Amino acid sequence: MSRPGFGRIVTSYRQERRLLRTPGRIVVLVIALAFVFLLPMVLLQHSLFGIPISDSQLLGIGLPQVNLTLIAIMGAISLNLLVGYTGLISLGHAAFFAVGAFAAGFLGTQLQLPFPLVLLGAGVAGAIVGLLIGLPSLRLQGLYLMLATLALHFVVIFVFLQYQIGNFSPAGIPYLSPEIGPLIIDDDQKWYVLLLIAAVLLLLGVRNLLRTRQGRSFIAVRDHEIAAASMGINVPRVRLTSFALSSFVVSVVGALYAYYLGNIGEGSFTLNFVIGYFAMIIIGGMGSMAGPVFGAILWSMLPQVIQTIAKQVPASTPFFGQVLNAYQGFVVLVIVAILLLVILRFRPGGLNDYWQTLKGGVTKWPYRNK
Amino acid sequence: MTEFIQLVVSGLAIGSIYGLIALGFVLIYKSTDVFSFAQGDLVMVGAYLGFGLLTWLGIPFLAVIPIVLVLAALLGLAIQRFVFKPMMGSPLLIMVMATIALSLLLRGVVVIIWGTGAVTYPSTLPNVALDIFGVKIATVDLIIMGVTALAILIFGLFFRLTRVGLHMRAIAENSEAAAVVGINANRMFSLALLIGTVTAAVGGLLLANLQLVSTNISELGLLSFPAAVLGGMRSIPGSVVGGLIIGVIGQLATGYINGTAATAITFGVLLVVLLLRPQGIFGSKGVVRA
Repeated sequence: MSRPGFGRIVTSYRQERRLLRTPGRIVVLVIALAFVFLLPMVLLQHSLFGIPISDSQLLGIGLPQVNLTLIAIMGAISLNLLVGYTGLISLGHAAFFAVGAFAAGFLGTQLQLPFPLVLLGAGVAGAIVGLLIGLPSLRLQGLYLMLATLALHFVVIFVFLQYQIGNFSPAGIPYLSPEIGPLIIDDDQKWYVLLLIAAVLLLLGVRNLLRTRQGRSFIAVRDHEIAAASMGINVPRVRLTSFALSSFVVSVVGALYAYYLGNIGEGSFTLNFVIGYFAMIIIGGMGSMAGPVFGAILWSMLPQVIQTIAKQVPASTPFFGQVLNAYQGFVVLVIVAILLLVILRFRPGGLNDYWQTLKGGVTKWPYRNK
Repeated sequence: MTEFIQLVVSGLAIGSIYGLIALGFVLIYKSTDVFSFAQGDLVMVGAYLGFGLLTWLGIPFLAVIPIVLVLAALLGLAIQRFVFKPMMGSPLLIMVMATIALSLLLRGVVVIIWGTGAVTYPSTLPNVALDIFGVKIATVDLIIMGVTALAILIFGLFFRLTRVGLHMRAIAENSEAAAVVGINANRMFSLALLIGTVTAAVGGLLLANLQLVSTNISELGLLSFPAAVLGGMRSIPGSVVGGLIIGVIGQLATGYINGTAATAITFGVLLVVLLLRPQGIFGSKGVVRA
C-alpha cells in the first residue's frame, strides 16, 4: 500500500510511471548498488576497505547463502504473485520447482541443450503443468484448490522420483555448469551476478505487470470475484493466466536452483519446502512487493545466523546452551513458528507493514503517520 | 487371495487409526471452520507423551493411557485459548498458516525434549499372531480396530444423546443461529479442540504399537485430508469410513507395488474425488463447490 507523503504529490502520469520518483530514491539506489558490489568482496576477502571482518562478525554468512537467498527471493516473488495478488492458495510450489529441475535434467543433462534454452524449456513445461493444475481452480475454490494442489504435489514428486531413478541414480540428477555463450558459470561469484540480475529483472517485471490491466485484474479477482466479473474481467481466464505465469517463473527458478546445487533429488522437494515459502511471504507480507524479499532474506539467513551464535554459546550455559548446540535446526523452527504466530496474530501485513509504518513516520515527520 | 485378505486386514487396522485422526480433524473443522494442518503433530505429541511417561515413570502401557489423555486434553484447551481463539474468523490462508506454525512449534519442541532419533515403547499392547482360516491377524490389530469402534460408538452416543453433544452439532450446523438461542460458542470450540486433541493422542498411542515413534508420525496428519474429503468433509462417520478406505488403499498399494507409490496413489485418489465428486461419499451436494 502506498501512502503519499507530504510534499511529494504526484501531478502527472509521467511522474507516476518513473522508477526513481524522488531524490531520496536515487540515494537509496546508489547505496543499494554500492552494497551489491561490495557484498561479494566483503564475503570473499573478509575485509572492507582494509578493515578485517571475522567470520562471526558476518554472522557466518558466505556467498553461497547469499545466492540461495536470491533464489529464495525469486521463488517467494512468484508464489506471492499467485497467493498474495491473485488470492489462489496453491500447495504445488515444490512440485513446480521439481518440474523445473526435471525439465532441466531432461533438456540440459540428457539432451545437452544450451542453458538459456533449457531455462525457457523449464518455464514452458512449468506453464503447461500449471495450466493443467490450474484447471481445478476453475471449478474448485479455496480449500478444495489447496487440497487438489496438495494431491498434485505428491503425484509430481512420485513421477519425478521414477524419472530420477530410471535415468540417473537414487542420489539425484546431476547438472553441468551452465554456459551462456563463452561464459561458464562455475563459481559462486559468477552465480551471484547471474542470480542478482535475474532477481532484479523478476522484481521489476512483476512490479510492472501489476501496473498493467492484466496485473490489476489479478488483484480485482482476489478482492472481489463477482465485482471483477461484473467489470468485464474474465475470471477463469485471469486465474489460469496467473497460475500459468506463476508456474512458468517458479519452474525457471527451479531449474536455476537445480543448476546451482549441481545435483538434486526428489528428497529436496518436500512439503516443508512449500511451507517454508509460505512462511516467507507471510512473514514478509503478502500482496506487497517488498514482503517476499524481506521474508526470503529472513528465512534463508536465520538458520546460518543461529548456527553461528550457537557456536559461541558454550554447551554448559544453563537451560538453552545444550539445546542450542544439539538441535540448532529445531531451535530455528521454534523461533520461526513463534514469529509466524505473532505476525499472523498481530500484524498480518508482515514485516513490510512495519517497514511502511517506519518509512511513513520518517517522511511525514513532524506530522503523525496515519 | 490370502495375501489380499491379509493386506485388507492390516489396512483396516492402520485405517482405523487414520479414521480416528480424521475424526478429530473433521470435528475441529466442522465446529470451528479451522482447517488444521497440526492434527498429525498432535498424534505425534500423543505418541511421545506416552513414550515419555513410560520411560520416566516406568509404569505399564495401560496405566499411561489415562495420563496421556488428560495431558492431551489440556494441550487442546491451551491451543484453543492461545492460538485459535484470538484468530477466529481470519481468512482461510491465515488460519491455515497459524495451524502450520503450531505444527512447526510442536515438532520443534518434541525434538528438543526427546531428540531426533526414532524410539520404541518399552511396554506395548499384547501382540500375538492369530491364525484364522490361514489369514494371520495380529492381536494388536484387533485391539486397535476395537478401540476405534468403541471411540466412534462413544462419540456417536455423545452427539446423539447428550445435551452438550446437541449443542456441538448446533454450533457446527450454524454457529450464529446457535449463539442466538444461547449456546456458548466459545465453550463448544474449546470442547471440539479438546476432543480433537484427545482422539489424536489415542491415535498416537495406538500407532506407537505398530511402528517406531519419530517426528515422521506428524506426516500422517496429511492423510486425514483425503480421508475427510472422501467422507464428505463435514461428516463424522464419513471421516472414519474415509480413513478405513485410505488405510486399505495404502496397504494394498504398498503390498502390490511399493511404499513410495502408496502416497502418490492415495493422493491421486484424492485428486480424482475432488474433480469428480467433491462432496465425497457422505457429503451433501452444493456444500462443497463454492
